[in-house]
Amino acid sequence: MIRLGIDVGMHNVHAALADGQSVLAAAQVEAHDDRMRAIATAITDVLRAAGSVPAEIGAIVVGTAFASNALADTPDLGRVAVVRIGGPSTAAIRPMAGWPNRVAERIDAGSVLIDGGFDLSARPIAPLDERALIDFFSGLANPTGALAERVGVAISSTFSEMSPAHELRARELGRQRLGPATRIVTSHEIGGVGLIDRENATVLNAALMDAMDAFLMSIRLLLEELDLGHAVLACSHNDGSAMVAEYAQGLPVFTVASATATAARGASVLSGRSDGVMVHTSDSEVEVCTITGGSAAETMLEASISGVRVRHRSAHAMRLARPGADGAPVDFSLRLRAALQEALSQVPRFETAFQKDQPVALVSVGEAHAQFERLLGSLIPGMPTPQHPQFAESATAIGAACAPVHGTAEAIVELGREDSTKLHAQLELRARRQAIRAGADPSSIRMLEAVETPLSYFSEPMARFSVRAVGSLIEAAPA
Amino acid sequence: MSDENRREHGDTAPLTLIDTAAVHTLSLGCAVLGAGGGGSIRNGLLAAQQAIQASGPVRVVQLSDLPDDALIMPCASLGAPLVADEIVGDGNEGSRLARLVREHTGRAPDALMPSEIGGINGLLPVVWAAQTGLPLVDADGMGRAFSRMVQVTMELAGVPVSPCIITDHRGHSSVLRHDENEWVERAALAIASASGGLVSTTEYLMTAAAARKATILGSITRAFLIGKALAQSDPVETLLRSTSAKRLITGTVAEIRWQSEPRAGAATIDGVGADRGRSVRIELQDDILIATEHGRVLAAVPDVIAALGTVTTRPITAEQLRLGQQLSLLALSADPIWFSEAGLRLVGPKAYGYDLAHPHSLATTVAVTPPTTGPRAAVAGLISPPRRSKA
Repeated sequence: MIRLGIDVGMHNVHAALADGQSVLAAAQVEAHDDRMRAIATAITDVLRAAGSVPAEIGAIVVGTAFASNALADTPDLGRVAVVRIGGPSTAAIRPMAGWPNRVAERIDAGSVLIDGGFDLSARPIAPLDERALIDFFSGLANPTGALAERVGVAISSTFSEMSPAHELRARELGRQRLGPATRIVTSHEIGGVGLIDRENATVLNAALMDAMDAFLMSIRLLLEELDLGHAVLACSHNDGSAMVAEYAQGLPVFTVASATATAARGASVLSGRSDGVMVHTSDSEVEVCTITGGSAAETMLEASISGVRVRHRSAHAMRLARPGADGAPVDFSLRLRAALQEALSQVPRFETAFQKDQPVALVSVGEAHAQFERLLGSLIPGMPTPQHPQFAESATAIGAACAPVHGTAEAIVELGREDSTKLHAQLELRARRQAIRAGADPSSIRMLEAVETPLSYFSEPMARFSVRAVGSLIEAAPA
Repeated sequence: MSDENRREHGDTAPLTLIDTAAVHTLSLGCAVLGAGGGGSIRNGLLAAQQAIQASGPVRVVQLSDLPDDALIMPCASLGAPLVADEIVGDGNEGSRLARLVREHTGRAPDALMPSEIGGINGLLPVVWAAQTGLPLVDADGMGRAFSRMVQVTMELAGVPVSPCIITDHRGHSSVLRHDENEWVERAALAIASASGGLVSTTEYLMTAAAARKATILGSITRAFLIGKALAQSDPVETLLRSTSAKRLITGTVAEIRWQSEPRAGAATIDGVGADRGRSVRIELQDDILIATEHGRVLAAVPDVIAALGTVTTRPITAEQLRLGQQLSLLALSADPIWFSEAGLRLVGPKAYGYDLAHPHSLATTVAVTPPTTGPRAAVAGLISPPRRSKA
């Protein structure tokens, strides 16, 4: 079966067709005002270029900047009531602190700090204050204003990774008061380190759900129109994997920064190398990212989504603003060189591989890759020659068409525990289940290596343990 | 103020007011003085900005401007950064500590002082000063970040640690009156553990007259100036020019190894550009502790050894070090007060389990071996989550 990858960017729409890891065709269309029309044209163009018919397409993976667009064009954002469970122990930083005013003002539908939450050992800090929760939800259900606006709810508790119990109970109470249709997001579904960053991502997720629904509905209508209604529809995840639309629908925040990791996969496919470095260029910036085992190197470091601080799993890319028209910052080349050196030395076994002239790729992709041909070639003597493969400008769409499905499970554990084998098996099971929910064909799932990150300032050695399952995206049976 | 600090300050007048813009600059300096540890500054910055927005800017005063008998309240949080990332505090810890000080000593504090300028503990006293309306003294007890409560200059000067007053994020409080400092620290850590891993404390309460001889002067201004240098387009060059910082090497992280018992590691930085061919090894625990080149000690704790990312131009913590990172290693000389015999016994390489004399007292080549005991061997139980039953 053939897969169709779509990359909906700010200015252009790219579409690509791939059969397994071999690219059949790619097409690019200017987006203008009517993005859906541009998507339709790109799909038609790429099918024609490959000589394919819609019935051959088994799955469609869409990477989109819709969330960034919604954040830039705030009327598309939903309003969100923020429930934080952990008060007063967390009052020093109020919800949405440090957000750009424009976004915060649009989203903020009130917030409340509720007694409860857990500590690192999953002990409750305080019993959940259900009375206060019910009062808050009742206020939302019966707003004093003239017209009740539809409001989503974001619920975060301290250490919900160690125990989600208070978040789950709060969601149940919310459903009872506000009705089953109310959009309620809990922070343990979103995950991530640090209460403030996780809460930020949870609030953004709730604010983006309406826009995500609208986007997916338009795409589905369009696909019907193009006789592609039979194909499995999936979205690109921030880590470069694919997740079926039914799963992604509730998790739009996982799609907001997918382009980098997806482009890295595309660069790997286009160059035929599983290890290397991608240079991804656009009108405004240059991203440099290590590719290892065909995927972007990942990070859990601080990131920003339109000025909102989050820390989630995404490509470990170094981003440099492109020199403006009014003259380049003096240090642009220097910083680009340092970024390339850093990314190249993070390629596994780079030194030996490069010395033996084994395949380590430096792949230049993105819409502006041609403009960097000379600079990249001259930057570091002895560096791999930069490749500009065919279809390089559509690398993100190609990465989408070739994306696998991931399932990840994490836990904070004491090192040297006697029951670590059991814990490991539990995590693997959780990761496997998540991969299946995200649309992995169960028979294709395999486990990747577990990652252990040591944590400092503990007398007991502790570590964050992360396990990942990988599988291939389910596809529709031939029509 | 030491000569070293005076030279760093140059013509710049001491910082007198911390507003929301100044606290951002200050936070960058606190990160550098974290010396690779000290926890994440980001939540400290958000909390400080919120407190300043609510209560107005924080006044910074020199100890020389305070009357001799003014009561100084050193303060900090105690616990694990991972916990501080989740349980960010209620912001009123400083007010509660000040009230408890009055209740238990009969005197209200006249000014607050960060016990530790490095990392998040350089910023929390800003939150508490805004909250109490009290000024912040331009001084601290470490000149950087250290792992332990007793690794402060007040300990060297013989200021009594008791009473040690503790409050947690739910308003519970404890007062420790022990004669032996190690016992105070042990009890405080046990209380931190019982409170879920994090408390706020004041200890080494003292008068301004005592503080002038028992603290590192000018610490807040120093952190602010380092932060200002970091905001420049070439932070490394600016730091070298405007502070006592020395560049140890600019290069690539070529190797990292961690051991878990006690938690310690080492990394190798291979030089690039002008430093090609050189190689510097760093010893890691919670902080970056020692830098050596071919066995020659370039810098060692209590000197501040900071890693600055070449691409990001921001400080990198020991925990964040990754293979292949491009960075510059900088060393800022510690305050001379630490170079006495007693000072080095408290915070020198040997205090961290390395059989190594500080280069100030020995300039021969040495082999650095990973420690077999760590600083926390003496204070086991910083956080001991209850073990689950091992079925």
